[in-house]
Amino acid sequence: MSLSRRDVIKTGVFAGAAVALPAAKLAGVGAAGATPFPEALLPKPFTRPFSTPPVAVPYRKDATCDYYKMSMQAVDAEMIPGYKTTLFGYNGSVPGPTIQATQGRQVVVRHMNALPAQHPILGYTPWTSVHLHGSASLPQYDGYASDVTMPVGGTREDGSVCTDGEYKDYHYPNHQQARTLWYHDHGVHHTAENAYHGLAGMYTMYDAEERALPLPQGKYDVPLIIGDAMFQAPFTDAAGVKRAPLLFSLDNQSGHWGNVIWVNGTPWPLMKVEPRKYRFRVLVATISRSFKFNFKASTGVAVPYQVIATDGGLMPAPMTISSHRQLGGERYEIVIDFSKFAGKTVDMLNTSPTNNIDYTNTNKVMRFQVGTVVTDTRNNTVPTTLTRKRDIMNLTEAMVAKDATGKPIVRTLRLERSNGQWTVNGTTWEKIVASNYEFVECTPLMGTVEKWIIQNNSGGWFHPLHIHLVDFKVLRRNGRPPMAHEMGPKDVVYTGENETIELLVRFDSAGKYMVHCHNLVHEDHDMMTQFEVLEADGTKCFDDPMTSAMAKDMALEALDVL
Amino acid sequence: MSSDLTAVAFPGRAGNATEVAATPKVATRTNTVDIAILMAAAAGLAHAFSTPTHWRWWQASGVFFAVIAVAQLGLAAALFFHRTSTKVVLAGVWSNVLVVSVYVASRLVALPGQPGMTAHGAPKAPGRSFLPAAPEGVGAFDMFSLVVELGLIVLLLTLLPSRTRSKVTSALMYCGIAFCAFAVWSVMSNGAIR
Repeated sequence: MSLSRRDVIKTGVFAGAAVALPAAKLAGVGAAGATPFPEALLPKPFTRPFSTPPVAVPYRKDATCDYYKMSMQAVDAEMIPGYKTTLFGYNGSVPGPTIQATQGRQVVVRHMNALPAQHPILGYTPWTSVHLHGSASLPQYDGYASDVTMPVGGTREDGSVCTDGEYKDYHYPNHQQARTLWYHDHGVHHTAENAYHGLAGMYTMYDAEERALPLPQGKYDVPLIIGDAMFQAPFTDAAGVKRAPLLFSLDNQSGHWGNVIWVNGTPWPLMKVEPRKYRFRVLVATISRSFKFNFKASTGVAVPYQVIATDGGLMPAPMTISSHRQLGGERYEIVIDFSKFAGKTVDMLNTSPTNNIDYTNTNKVMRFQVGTVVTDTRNNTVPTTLTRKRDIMNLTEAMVAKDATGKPIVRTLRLERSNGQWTVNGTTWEKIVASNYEFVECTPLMGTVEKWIIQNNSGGWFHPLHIHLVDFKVLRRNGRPPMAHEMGPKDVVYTGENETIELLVRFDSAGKYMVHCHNLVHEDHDMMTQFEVLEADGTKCFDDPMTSAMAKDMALEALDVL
Repeated sequence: MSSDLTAVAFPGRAGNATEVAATPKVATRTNTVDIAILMAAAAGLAHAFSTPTHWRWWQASGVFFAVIAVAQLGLAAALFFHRTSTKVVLAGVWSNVLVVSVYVASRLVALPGQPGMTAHGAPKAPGRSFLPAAPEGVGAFDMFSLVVELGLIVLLLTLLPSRTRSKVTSALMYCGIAFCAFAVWSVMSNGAIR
């Protein structure tokens, strides 16, 4: 018998509630009401002028190397007009100054921890470790999570107090091809808080091949460091300064999502551009949020764009797309041609992927106001072939190394919650620490290629999986070819809900390196493990991430010539 | 077992749906029952597939998923072997309503006993970040299971005598209203039972 109309209605109430309530949560309904800083006091989207971070100036140079000094320190910034927000910056800048490097010329950065002994609101000790994301640095300069640099008066995990503060020199070889890298904090357990408060900056590396291409350069080559933030209720301090501290909440195990989207530190900025091609280095530096970007002109038309480079540098050929998804740690270099939009505006928008928490204006990123005059017509072309030197993209499954039984080496990394923690193959950083940093997930040989399979069997979370040291090729996504924008060398891969990603990874230098989720809240709790690349003859690398170049007492800094 | 199946009443069959209220049994397999079997089996397999992951996360949820998987596969078997008495159908309806209710609750609040996450496996301590238990995420796979279970409930409802069905659908409506009230409360309480 069929259901009566009345039965259908009554059952519909049940079924509708069962489907709609979780779906409403998925869509973020109700979340907007949870922001303590009044929305009316936030800047209106596309009203604040666009700016770029300052370019870092070397402290000194010699024949082969540029030397920089960076002081990590608290700084009062005005992200919201009229309100001061205490952030953490490199040399007082949020985001940090952009370091410009050239292939073959080394860089040494002295990072000094001048942060307060305790975060004024969150109460933790902001120890730091600086990771140059995208660099094949030696293990001791890779920003190993537990290799921390302490602030003056900070309390270590073992309870001891660091009386003088510390600094550490990081050496970067810059032997890889041109690419967009970024440096950010990686201090164990507090990476999310530190990076959220501003400890991140861009590091661009150029090489002769990339400079010879007719791609947009100079003022037409623009960094877009994109993040999100949420602010606490405003108040006026004892000195009469209006303040809006950052709100950092760990009430959601999936991560932390802000209601303000910022680009280079400015909420929803407006950038004036000329009607020609621009190259944008898009870095998503969020704690947890992922984006699906698209561009729309004021005429209502969707604006296609070309992806020319991924995390590891130039793609073999540009890919023309109309949108792409991107999450924390990923870099894509895109070229947008504004020539058809003179006198119009083009908006960079976000159709948020699932399992983000969205607010009123998180669907907007920034606006480009297109002028009518082009002042420089050089380097205004995207060639059909970008590079043939990215041999990582020429890897095939036939090149995968074989084990003793003659089978190709295939390793699986399972990303999941286990025993109340975020884990990689059931392992947390706790296990590495408990083993005195000896436990490793696997020991590939230097110079070999392996196939790694990344699995996310959860429907409730996405994971940006980052493998230190290497560039890899995305071979397949759920058994299918990778998405168009992923067809370049990568070091972070979007591992979406119920997705399985196959990678080809080549190991070009030896040592212990981390592999972890780049949702920084997951990373801090404790979704990190490590692998150890052995020398080609099977011996261990001499360099050790914890002991080969430890942080030094700040009292020695003046005597230690950089 | 077909000897005690005296009533034949299914939707979509030709002619009036005949109902024998005095002997509330349902009888031969029809398209409806076949689909219900498939749905119960699909829901059971989905929960069985998810059991190891949930066990590793929180053992209580792993046990719950295993029990659900067995119950749903058992329901499929019961329907397959014509053990479709009203009691079996009602048990199928209410067991799936229970599953749906726990699902909805878990997406709105942190369930009692649900583990939080420590950093470094260390106990909660000042200055050390700790993720309190939080509502579960919503994913395509669990939405699929939910839709299958709701479909199964509807199919099972059609196997019930009309008077019983009317009572059950009324109860379902009150459940739906309760879900909505619970959702409002969960928003006001910031989504966690602590």
